[in-house]
Amino acid sequence: MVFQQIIAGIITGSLYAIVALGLVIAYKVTGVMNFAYGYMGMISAYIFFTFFSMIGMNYILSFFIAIAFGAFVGYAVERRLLRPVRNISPASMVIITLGLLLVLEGVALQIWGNNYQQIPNLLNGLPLILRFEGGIIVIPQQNLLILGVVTAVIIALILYLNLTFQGKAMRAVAQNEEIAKLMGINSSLMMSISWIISGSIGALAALLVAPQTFVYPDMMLSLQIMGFTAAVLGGFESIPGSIIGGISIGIIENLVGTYISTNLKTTFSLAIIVAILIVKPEGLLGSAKSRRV
Amino acid sequence: MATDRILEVENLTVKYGPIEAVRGTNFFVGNQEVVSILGANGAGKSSTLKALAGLIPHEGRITFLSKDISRTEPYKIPYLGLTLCPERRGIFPDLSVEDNLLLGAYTIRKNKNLIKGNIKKVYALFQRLEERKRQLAGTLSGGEQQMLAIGRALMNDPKLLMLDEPSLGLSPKLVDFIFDSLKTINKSGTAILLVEQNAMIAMEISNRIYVMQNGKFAISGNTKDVDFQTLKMKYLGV
Repeated sequence: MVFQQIIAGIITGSLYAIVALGLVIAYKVTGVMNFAYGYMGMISAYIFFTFFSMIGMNYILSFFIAIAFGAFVGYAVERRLLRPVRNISPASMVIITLGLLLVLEGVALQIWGNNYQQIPNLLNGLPLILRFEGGIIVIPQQNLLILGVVTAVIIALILYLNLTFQGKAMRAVAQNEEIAKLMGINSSLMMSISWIISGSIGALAALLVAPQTFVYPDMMLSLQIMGFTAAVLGGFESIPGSIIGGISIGIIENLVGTYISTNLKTTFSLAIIVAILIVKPEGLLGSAKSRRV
Repeated sequence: MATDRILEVENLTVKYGPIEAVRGTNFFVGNQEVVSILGANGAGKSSTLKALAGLIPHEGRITFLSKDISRTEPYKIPYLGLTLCPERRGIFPDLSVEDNLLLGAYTIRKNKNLIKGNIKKVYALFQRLEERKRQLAGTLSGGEQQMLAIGRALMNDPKLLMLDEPSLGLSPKLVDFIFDSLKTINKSGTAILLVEQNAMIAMEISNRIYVMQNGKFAISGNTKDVDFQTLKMKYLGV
């Protein structure tokens, strides 16, 4: 029972972790906390729904179209909405993302209505069943898929940022944009790339969670909140921190839901996180250095 | 003579709002020369270098290797062979020493062999960096960070290396070491444009100097023709 809940927690948590990752990579490179993040992903889920359920296109193809659309939205939001105010008012960039959240919600309502649309799981076979002394663990195939895809994305991202020239250049821009320019790094391009990555990750998260949440304008609300929480818990600037943050929240939430109260699971988990942040305000893996205001 | 000039600056003006930090200066750097811009704090020295690197808006004409770079975007400038080693070193603290150096070679990133060769050259010049190549750059001492900043600026084989206050915050012994290294770098064919408050040490390695005061050059000439004592009393405020 406990193991079953921990496994379920890891799977939910892995979704929180990639949402956190997507938020953090855009934040690190461009300094913007994207409050519209989940809603950008939601649009991609609708794109998938349109191509797959309405037009009847192949599942995998629709999946990649939706991801590509997420990448495009990421690029367009940064380049067209945020870049123009970048050097004028960093604070208004955050307000722009909040406004964008409302706009995207309205657009989705206008185009697709507020019905809950169903998307089938990609994998519907028999669940994986593990039996061992003292218990049994059942993992649906779709959850294995989520775990596999999330792990692959995380590994790919870490390898990209640490081993490729472009990844290192992106980290350089994140640390000091002006100095990065002196190295010959096109920081404007790196910012675009970071939002393209972030946008695709957001779309991916929405597509992975859609079979469980259904597709509707607010489908990403809870995932976005938990993703932010995971990022904050991890220190907001740390990629390993986001992963650890996401998975711990997933596990805490599932355990609280099972052993304390399902109704209280979000409240209780957030309370635990607030407690952790009171003890360690910089987050689990954040750096304790002070910031200039 | 004009063909030997790799950098030619005409009527350079830098404004911060209503304040003119640099007021129509003219200067040049010859092939393989070491040139210093000296002056007190706030004289406009750093603004001059930042303008040359394209980091701040400026007026006037900047010609580097016969190419007008007055309007060139900052990230394209190092590709031309003009590299700035910035004030306060500007290393990437959360990247390793070696990754910092690799980023210095960003403009030649396709040429792995050249990068390898250049890393070897930098390690030969600053052995401390090789000993600490896996360490995060933020954990280095001030002197080591300065070595890293200079090493990183050398990684793309610049024709002209610009340095902004390399002596800042270093002990006299380290300053001597850094300036000896600059001499070595110059001997291997790189021209140097140096901005310094520490006039004495800068003059030791410079062929020519410009002394800046309130955004303009008060004196310029061959180092050997300038009397250090007058310079000190009249223009450097020490």
